[in-house]
Amino acid sequence: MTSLSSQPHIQPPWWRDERILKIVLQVAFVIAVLVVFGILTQNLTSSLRRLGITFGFRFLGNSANFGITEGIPYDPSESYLKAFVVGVLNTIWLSSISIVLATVMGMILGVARLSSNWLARQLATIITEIFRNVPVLLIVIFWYQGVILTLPAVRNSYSIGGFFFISQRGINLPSLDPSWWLIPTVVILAGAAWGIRKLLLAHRPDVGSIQRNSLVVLGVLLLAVACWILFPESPLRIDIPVLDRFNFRGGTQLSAEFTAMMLGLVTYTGCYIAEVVRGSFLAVQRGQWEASRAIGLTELGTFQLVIVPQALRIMIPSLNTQYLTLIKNSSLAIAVGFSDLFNISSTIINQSGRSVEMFGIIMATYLSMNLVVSYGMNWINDRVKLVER
Amino acid sequence: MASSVSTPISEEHRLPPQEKLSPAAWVRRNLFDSWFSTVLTLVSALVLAWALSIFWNWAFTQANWAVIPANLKIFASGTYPSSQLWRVWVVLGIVLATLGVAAGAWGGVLLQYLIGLGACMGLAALLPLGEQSQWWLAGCAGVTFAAIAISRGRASWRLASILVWALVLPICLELLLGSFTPNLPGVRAEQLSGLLLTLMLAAAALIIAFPIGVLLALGRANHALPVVRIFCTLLIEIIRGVPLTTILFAAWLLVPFFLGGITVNLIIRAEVAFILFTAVYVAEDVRGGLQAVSRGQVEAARAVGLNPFQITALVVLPQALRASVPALVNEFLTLFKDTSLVFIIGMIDLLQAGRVVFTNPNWLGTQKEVLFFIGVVYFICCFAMAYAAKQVEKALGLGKR
Repeated sequence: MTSLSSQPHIQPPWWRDERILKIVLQVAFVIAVLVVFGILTQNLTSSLRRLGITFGFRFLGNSANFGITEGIPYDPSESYLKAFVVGVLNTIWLSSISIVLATVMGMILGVARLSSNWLARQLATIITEIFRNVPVLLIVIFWYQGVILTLPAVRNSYSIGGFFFISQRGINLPSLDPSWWLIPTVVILAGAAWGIRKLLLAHRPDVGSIQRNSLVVLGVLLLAVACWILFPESPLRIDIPVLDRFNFRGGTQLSAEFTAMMLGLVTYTGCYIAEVVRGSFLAVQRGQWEASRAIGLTELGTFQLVIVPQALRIMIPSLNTQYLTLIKNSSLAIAVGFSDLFNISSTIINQSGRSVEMFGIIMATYLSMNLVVSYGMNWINDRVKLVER
Repeated sequence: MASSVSTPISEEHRLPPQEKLSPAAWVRRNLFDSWFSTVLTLVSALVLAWALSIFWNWAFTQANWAVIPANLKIFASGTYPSSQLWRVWVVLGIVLATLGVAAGAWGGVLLQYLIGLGACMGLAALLPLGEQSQWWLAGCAGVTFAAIAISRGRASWRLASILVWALVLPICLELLLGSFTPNLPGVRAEQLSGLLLTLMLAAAALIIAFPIGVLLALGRANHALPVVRIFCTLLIEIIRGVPLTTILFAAWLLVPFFLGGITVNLIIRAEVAFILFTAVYVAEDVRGGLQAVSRGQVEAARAVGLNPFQITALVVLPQALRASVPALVNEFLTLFKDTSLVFIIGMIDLLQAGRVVFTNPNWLGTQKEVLFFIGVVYFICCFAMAYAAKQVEKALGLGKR
């Protein structure tokens, strides 16, 4: 085509000239889009005028007047903006902990599905197939109404080793209570680890890597115990929940709603991640196993040094998609009443009637969260991807 | 499909011969290969035994399964008025007839499924489900088999059997909701609920979102028209970045602001939200397929003198769609499951109908039974679709080149 138009002798008529056609088409497209947008904005402004609402974000400063039981301390007299921030933080907290747990679960299930052990393989297959083929909302509701709400009341809660307590109200677990002495402790321990390793490498190069690592860990542990004993205040106190008359004292509590959402997101996304993991390991060519065996690597060494790095490279883009899906699915919290960003926003909309503005904010927030996660995953992807020469 | 005409070389003949193991040796090799494998086997066996004992204990001693048959009508069609149920049966008959024609013309896994479905309905017609339902069930089964018999082997009907859905969908919606004569009042859209609503939403979104998604993908891949490309990219990225819950909420609360006084049925607005949401994901899947088509194909097509439109429609798209079949199936499965989010805008789908049942004072404490039943329904539908997709992939020879 380009060769035709470059010849000045057979200039086609303008309505068949590709360059002009392209411009005409695009101008027409822009005009069509602008007209549609114009009509929509016109309608919006007239509807808002009829309702007597002026567009603006001033209302965010108004007092919210509704309680939120979850997340950072918040008082109903504080502003809508503060309430929204509480929701955003809750969403981030729920998503990040779910992403970590889902990844762990996905890794275990995915590797189990490739295991040479028949029973483990079948078990992992059944679990993934079940959770992948039902709606995530059903899973969340099942955890909430089918499991957690049918657990015993607080007074008869199940205890795991006296540290974790599981009841109708969620999970009570020990919390870590750091003091200012944590900072010197961490510095000392990190320095010690580095120093011991350096010393061993310099003076006893004959010691194998496993023994060397064990010695480093042992030294750090001894120092840590010394820190806990010698410092006037313990650097990191572990606060174990104790059952009081009506509720637990101390520790932290994951509420029933949070636990249900977390379990739902983790089991659903975990099974998808398992498929991603399985696919990536299968995508590593068989020859890679054989070649690393041929150069004398052990089975574990092959897995660690040859297979995992290659599988990781294939895995990361799909993992990114799964993480984004998980963040979006966290908006289902409204079904069990967990105060996430979407739930709180819908309350704000109900109270203030500011649906247009709030939608702008919600969309911007989700989009920016997705951008941050995508950016992080792309950064990791750049680390692990094949360096082409 | 191609599977029915392919040469009957079974997998066994192509694979290298396998050694035969005695049961004891099989157990040794697959379960107690090394100390690690032994531990894994024991742990798995413990987990399995624990889960099975809990399930057994619940299912056969505690569970109140009476809740399922007593509320079958609510699960299936929710609050749809009982006096109007004939409409649902007629629609089911039309859908089955259309599917039957398609199955007869195409053959393959669709034919197997429909014969299975027809047989199940025929058998269900023998159960004591009430005089009327039995007749309707028998009728639906008959229509299915009749449609299959008429179209069997007519390859020329294949394309038509796909295109006809554009007509069938509005007819079905009109049949379900419309009032035809003054003395036959219509059904309110909110009464369309239960499994009926789930299927309706999923089917319509699937059929309409597909062409829109393909157009969006072509728009995004179009380097000749940068304005169109930027517009499509923006639309895709924005909708992909926000949760479906938000889009549904927008369809519910925001759309009335933009329509300037025109009122649109809530069910249509929800449907548009699903279509938009599915279309952008379809677009991304198709884009992946488009990238898999090698440039040589385009160049070759240009060399034989095809114009850009012909290149896209005849050379690039068929290959791209074929390559994106696995991703597209995943998308449709997701869509089917995501229809459960309509609870956000107060509609009652299968899952929500279940919640209605177990919050009913007569059936308090039956949430596990109800959720289990609904889970099984979703599982069967999704698993059947995924299995069919695998068969289609095999027939297309995907992943083997």
